[in-house]
Amino acid sequence: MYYYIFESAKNSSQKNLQEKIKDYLGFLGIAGETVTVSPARSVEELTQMGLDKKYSTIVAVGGDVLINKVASLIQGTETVLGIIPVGASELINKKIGAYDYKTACENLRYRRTRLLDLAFIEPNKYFLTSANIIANKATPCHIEIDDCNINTNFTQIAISSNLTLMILDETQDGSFFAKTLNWLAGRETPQSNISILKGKKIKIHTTDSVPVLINDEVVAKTPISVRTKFRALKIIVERDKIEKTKNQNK
Amino acid sequence: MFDKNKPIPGPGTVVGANVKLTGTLKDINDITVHGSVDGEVISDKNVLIAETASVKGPVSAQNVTIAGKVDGAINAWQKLEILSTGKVHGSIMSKDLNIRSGAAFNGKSKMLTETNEETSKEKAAKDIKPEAKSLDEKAEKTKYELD
Repeated sequence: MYYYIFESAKNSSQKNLQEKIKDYLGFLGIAGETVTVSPARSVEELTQMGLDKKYSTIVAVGGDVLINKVASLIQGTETVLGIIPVGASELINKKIGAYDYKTACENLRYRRTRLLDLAFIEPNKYFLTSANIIANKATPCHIEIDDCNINTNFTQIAISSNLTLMILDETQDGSFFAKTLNWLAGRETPQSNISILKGKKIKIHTTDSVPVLINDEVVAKTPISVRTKFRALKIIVERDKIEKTKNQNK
Repeated sequence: MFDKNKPIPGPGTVVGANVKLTGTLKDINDITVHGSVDGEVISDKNVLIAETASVKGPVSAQNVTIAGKVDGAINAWQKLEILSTGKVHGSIMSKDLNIRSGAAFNGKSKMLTETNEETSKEKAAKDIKPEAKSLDEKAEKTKYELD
């Protein structure tokens, strides 16, 4: 029923942690087939093997890179994605409601699932975390987001999995003199160099082609089009908790 | 059945200082504008037009605070505040109006009462567009008039 894909351990402490995770899964009674990413077998190959064997749940045990890749391959199928985060980002931890491996394993045992929308860079680069575009200097760009057209300069653009777009222009940070004056007067320097917008479809065009990164891996270059695939992925999340109210205590 | 038109929850919308935006800016949460917007600004909560901002088009929200420049109708079904750096050219409609010393306002003002407050929210979209057109046709600046 469960197929576990472990990230390749980089040192002995990671290896020990992976052993602890396997032991805990056995303790909970949800041990299954475990495979580890290696130079001989990539994440893509291992995930495809799990799909070919028709496992109902494929569990990614590792960081954002592994989780994103497994999610990309599972999306659109009936297979459920489980996650045991090891060194993963806050975004992932929040999505599954688990900040440590024990809680994540317990979530797997209870199997409460949720259908997630998944963002993707056309045609097929899916991501659960965020996509980033980083420029060395202020770069002009034209962005179409639903009914809006935006022209601005940016040094960094981040697109989250729910298609929240953040545009940062560090060159608009304000002069050192202005910042010092604000600091002396006890005022916060207003953060007017950040834009936050939400949409259902985003297109980004830049004058020069700029690489687009997902977890520090280049997946595309501008111009790009980012959309959401609705209910693309079934994922195991934390179960609902019942809280006692004052009336129940009486 | 999942509704693809359901608004996306989360933090509000912010338009940065060096951004030029054309089109309709809509959010169920707060909207803050530091840059330039050519189009409608619509929020279910609060809209802040910052000192560096310039909006050409109608603004509609529960509470609206103007510290920059607005060229268009403003509909605030609770509170409208024009700060000392604010400049408004267009009609305004609100329940609670506060224009600070130093602010500039050219246009008509209508105060909302409890009886017409609810309908003003619904009529916001309809009223704002025809108002904006009529303002464009009138070329002269006038003193503000209270109905």
